[in-house]
Amino acid sequence: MSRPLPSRAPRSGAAAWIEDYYGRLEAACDRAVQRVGACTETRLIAGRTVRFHFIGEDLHAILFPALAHLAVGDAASAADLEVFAWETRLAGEPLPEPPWAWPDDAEPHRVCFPPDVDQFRLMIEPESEAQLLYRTDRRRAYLGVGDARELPTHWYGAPLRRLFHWWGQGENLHLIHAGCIGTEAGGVLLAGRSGSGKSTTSLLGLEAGMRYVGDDSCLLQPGAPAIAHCLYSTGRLHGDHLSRFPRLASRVVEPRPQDGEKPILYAHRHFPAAVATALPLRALVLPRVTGLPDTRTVRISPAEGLLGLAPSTLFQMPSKDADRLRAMARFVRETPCYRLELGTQLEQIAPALGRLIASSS
Amino acid sequence: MSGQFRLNEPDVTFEGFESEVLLINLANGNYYSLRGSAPVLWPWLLQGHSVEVLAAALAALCDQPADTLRRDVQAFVDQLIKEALIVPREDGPVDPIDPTAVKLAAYAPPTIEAYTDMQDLLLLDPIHEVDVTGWPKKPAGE
Repeated sequence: MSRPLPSRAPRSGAAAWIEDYYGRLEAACDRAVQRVGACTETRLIAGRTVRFHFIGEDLHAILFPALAHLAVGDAASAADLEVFAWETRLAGEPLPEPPWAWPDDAEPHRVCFPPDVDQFRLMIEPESEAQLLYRTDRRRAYLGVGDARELPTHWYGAPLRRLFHWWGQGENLHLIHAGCIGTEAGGVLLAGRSGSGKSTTSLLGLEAGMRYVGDDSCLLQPGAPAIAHCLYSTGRLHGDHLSRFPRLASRVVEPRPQDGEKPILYAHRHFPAAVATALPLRALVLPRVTGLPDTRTVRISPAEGLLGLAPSTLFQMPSKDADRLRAMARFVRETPCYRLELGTQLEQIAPALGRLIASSS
Repeated sequence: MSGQFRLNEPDVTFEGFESEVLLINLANGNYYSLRGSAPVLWPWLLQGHSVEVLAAALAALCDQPADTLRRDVQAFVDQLIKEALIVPREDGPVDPIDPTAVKLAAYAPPTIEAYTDMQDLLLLDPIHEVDVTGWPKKPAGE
């Protein structure tokens, strides 16, 4: 999976070629914009200005809907993050020939550079002919895609997730594997391994009229209180959900049924008043399916809370900086943690969370 | 083995609580919970104190036989090494242990619980480290 570095040189050979490639990429992107134009969207994420330039209308149609709920930013403001998303098929301007060899397999690959070129982040997805290059010191990203029609379903529901993780590292915003729902008094972070009931609980909250920040990921901003910032207004419904939530199931889309991925619900289209761009967090909640009739909340220790929150977050997007674990540890020390023992009488769940939020506010 | 050790950084990171220490091993996708007297021993271990010194410090806090404590601490350290959570260090500890600064309500052997249910997440994130010549740079002439 990863290969050890040979002996470290003061300046690696990587610095020269990656800087050269970055310059050629910028120039090619400028030519593509001049040739076919770009659709520019300015949005706010956690109060920061993020500007997207979509070169090729298909990419706009695929990537932007999951982000369209974000507050509109000032088009004249300097960007805290600038993203150029470029479909070479439509732009008529190919990506410059990269200095790296494309991997032989179809799996995504993340490339880590030596310390002297640590300002670059690179992700390659050969199957999608996609390449994401982010430069941390300029907060600028280039996403190159051969044919946007070949992008798999997860690009529709959670686009640029890796980029937001990289960018967040420099902004003290931490991409967390957790759902978040709440009331006007605040929200709860729903965490746990896959199958714990996280998504089901988030969707129950959405159906019950609670505020919705997400079912699977959000940006955690440390503080007193910590704040969960919404990235995507989407939810994903698996097989059980489709029968359990008919009202939601009738509204899902399957952009690419052949992928076999979960259908997507664009919550802001159907429940615009429910989607919240941010909520102050009142508690961490670890759902657990019990099979018993009634739902109850049980207070747990910060250590148990962190054990439920941290591993999937860190392993989904591994990085060797300790800031994310430290931020999550601060959160569980400063915020009450609960286990939510989910009963089979689903109508109890949203009110139980509402009472928990009220008592923790 | 009764040497001195340090945290296997940067692959391993941890957070300590009063009754538990949580460790994450980013290299193998495992995470661990240290309990019993482990939270007391853990900071001393990372300071570079040997098994003998750790066992003696525990002995000052409880009424367990010395050989029992030494056996328990040695087993604990052996398991930490086996899981690649700690590695040998060259330098020794700077400060001696002050057992009076710690309270141990009742002795319980230090334990490690390993969780391996998330290893598959790491398989979805294959990493390639660029070497000094610029891998994955193409071979010249290609």
